[in-house]
Amino acid sequence: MPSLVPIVHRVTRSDLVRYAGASEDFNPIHFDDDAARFYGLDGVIAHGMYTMGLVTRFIEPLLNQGYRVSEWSNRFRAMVPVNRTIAIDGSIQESTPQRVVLNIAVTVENLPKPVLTGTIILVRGEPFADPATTN
Amino acid sequence: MNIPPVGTQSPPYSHVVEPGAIRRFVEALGLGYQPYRDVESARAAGYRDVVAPPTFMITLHGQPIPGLDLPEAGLIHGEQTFRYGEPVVAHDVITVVSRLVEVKTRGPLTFLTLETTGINQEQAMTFVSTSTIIARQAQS
Repeated sequence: MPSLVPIVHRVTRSDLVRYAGASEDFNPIHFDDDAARFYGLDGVIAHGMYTMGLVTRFIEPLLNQGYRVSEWSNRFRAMVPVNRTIAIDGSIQESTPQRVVLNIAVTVENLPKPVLTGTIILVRGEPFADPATTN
Repeated sequence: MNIPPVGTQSPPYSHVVEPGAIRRFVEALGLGYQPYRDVESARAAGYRDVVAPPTFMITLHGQPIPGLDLPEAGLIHGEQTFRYGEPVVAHDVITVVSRLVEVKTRGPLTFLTLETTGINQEQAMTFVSTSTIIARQAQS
């Protein structure tokens, strides 16, 4: 049974600036408080894809055991304000030497409900499938 | 806001996957899995070259969908799904096409589902990305 450890990370403005550059998503609500307020937010928020990308850290122990992601779906349920600490955790729904199914949830300090929930399917030792013909 | 018929797709666009783009992405997320970072580890793990992490595919975006005109402000990314095939590695050339696959309206909110497929230089399917975007009808 693979062991997974929750990831705790404080989302800083420099994280978001770096992610904006790396992903070429320069929507100013992710680094400029004035722009964020103009659009009705209290301040800068994280890119949804930044939060999703951080979840990759959580599955790295499985990657190191030779698994790779075959499918990943998630729902963005709420915004992640900058300068908050998030926790990434998950539960193993299925685990065989060939396949692991994880349910994941990301929570933000002082927020009762997850901001992101989803499912990741990882496989090991299988040929690469054609994603257009599966599902 | 203007929304074309379901099925409308973008012209194909080819991205060259630069090693530096993977490295910047991996560093921005603080990832430690070595095949994301160096070619020897990647080859030892069975990849042709440094491999792109799962969410990197979002950067391999399609050209604009003809006729799709959304307000820049207030767009919300509601859901995201990736299905993966052949891995995307450094120096690949990935040709992407985006397609509007579903439109739903609920009150002032419009839910658009966009699907982007990526095919590599060997004509192998590498990923299918499905994004649900929520747009709010402009007040004016």
